[in-house]
Amino acid sequence: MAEDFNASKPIYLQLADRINRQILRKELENGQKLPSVREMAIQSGVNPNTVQRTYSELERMGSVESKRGQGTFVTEDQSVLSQLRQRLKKEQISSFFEDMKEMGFTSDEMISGLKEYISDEERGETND
Amino acid sequence: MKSGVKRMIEFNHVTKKYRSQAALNDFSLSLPAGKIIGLVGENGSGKSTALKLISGIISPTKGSVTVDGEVATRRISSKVSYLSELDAYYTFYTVGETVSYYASLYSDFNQRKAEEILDYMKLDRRKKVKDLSKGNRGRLKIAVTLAREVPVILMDEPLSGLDPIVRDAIVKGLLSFIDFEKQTLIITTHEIKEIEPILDTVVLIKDGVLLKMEDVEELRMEQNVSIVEWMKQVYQDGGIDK
Amino acid sequence: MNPWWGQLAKEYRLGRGGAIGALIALFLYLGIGVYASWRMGNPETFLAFCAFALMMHVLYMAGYMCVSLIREQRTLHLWLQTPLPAYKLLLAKLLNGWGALAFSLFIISAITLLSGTMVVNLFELDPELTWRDVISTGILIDIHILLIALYIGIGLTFLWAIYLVVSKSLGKVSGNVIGICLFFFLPWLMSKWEGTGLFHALFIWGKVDLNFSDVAYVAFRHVYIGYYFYHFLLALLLLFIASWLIERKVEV
Repeated sequence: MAEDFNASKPIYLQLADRINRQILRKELENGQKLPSVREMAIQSGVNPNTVQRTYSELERMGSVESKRGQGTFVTEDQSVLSQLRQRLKKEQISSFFEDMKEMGFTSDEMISGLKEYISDEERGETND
Repeated sequence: MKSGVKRMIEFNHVTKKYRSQAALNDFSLSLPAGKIIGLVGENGSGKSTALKLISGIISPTKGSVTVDGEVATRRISSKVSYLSELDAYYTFYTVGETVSYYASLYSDFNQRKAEEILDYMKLDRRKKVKDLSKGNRGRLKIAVTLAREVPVILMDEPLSGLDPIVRDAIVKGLLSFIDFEKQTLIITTHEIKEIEPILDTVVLIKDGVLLKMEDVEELRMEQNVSIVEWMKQVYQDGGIDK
Repeated sequence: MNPWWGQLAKEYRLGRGGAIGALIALFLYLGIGVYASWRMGNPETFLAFCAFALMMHVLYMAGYMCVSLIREQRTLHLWLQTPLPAYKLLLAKLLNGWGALAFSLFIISAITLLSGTMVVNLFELDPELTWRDVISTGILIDIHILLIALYIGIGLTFLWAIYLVVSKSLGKVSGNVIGICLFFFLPWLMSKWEGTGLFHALFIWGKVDLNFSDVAYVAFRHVYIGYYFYHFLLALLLLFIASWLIERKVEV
């Protein structure tokens, strides 16, 4: 069921990242209850203490809220969600930018390359 | 490790000699309650000896081992459920009879949980133990070990000799059937990759000496290494701590 | 079910095959007896076969415990892991063996009795013999077989415990050598000790005459309660040492 985690990076962060993405993709609806720590541990094949830590981390980020005695829920606060959206976008772009820079591309090359790629994608062409 | 966590198992300068050979040498270790702890190291490093000492079926040549404050003798089995690495069973029993036998031995044996595990492991209760495949014998052993509601569960190489699908099922089974609020699991294995995501703490042993003990997530966070990579590093450095 | 009953049931299963095997062997042997006595045209032969089988039951517990302990040794860690104290582990074996012995002994006693009174009519041979003589002699013999067999079983368990400890610390060969030496040395030592004046002062008391029958064996004319008491103490001591060794010194 669950894809493997990268064994050399903290699993609680990888799991938090996965859940955040699920929230943005609407696989987890706003206000939806997350699985219990134990269920999540079994589903994703990780230690329950790790899941606990993931939930705390998500709560700190604001993407989930825990209600006493009821469990953990995806936040309904739209501003938090749009912040999350912005943050993930920035993270993705920054990793793209760093990789490209490392390979010696200039900023202009990156922008034009990206534009070209997007317009090809939208025309439904397959590049090789 | 956080302070205030209850210590469940203590090795106090333990030496264990077999004839003249030391399997453990002046070994001190303190393990917290409520964690999944991996005991790793090469063959013959003393992992199995350490587990046997906790289970009370062997006793130290020097030093002491305590479980929940009580010195580990044979009687510690009321607090410790131990899965041996040996492929040995009472072959005259069926699967169901084996479970009933263990249920009679231990007052903390949860029959309902045992039934659940048998179902999960897809074991046929009427089958004779001697007719089971090696994989199924391994599962039966795990079922009777996990069905006990004890503070400490020890598993010596529970995954060895099993195929990957069974190994995966067993690791998932550990997550489903262990009560993490009340139980501490100590596991020795060569299949580190498989259990890596479920470990809290890893203890590395070499030649009967404790090399290092680390929180697994800290390792990944601070050193960006997996357990296997970390093991190689520490083994190369000879494990001199700082 | 509590651990003690669970362990008894387990020992029953462990020993059942051997006990059934012994019964089959007994019947095969008796079959040979019937055949031999028919070929020779001599009914007394069968009675002799029966009497021999009856007496051989003295060794029943030795055989039973050998099989049981050797089988246990293959999965010793399972046995040592149980939460029961060692003396209960041993008792579970001894009691099961004793039960099997009692069953087998009952059968052979009945057959011996029948062959002694119906095939060969002892009452005709000796007009003074009464049923009471035959039954009480038989019971006396059976009780002694039960006691001696148990005693031997306990002695064997004691040697096994020593063997396990020695072979773990000094190696298998030494274990065997020391076991065999003890097997011969201890009885010799015992007989020396039982010949001393101190022993007589301590344990030869409580004389009981067995005057129920002239036919009763000469050896059983009278017995000393003190002597039985001595062997009872010795059996307890052996069992205690064996349990202690298994509890504290036997490792896997």
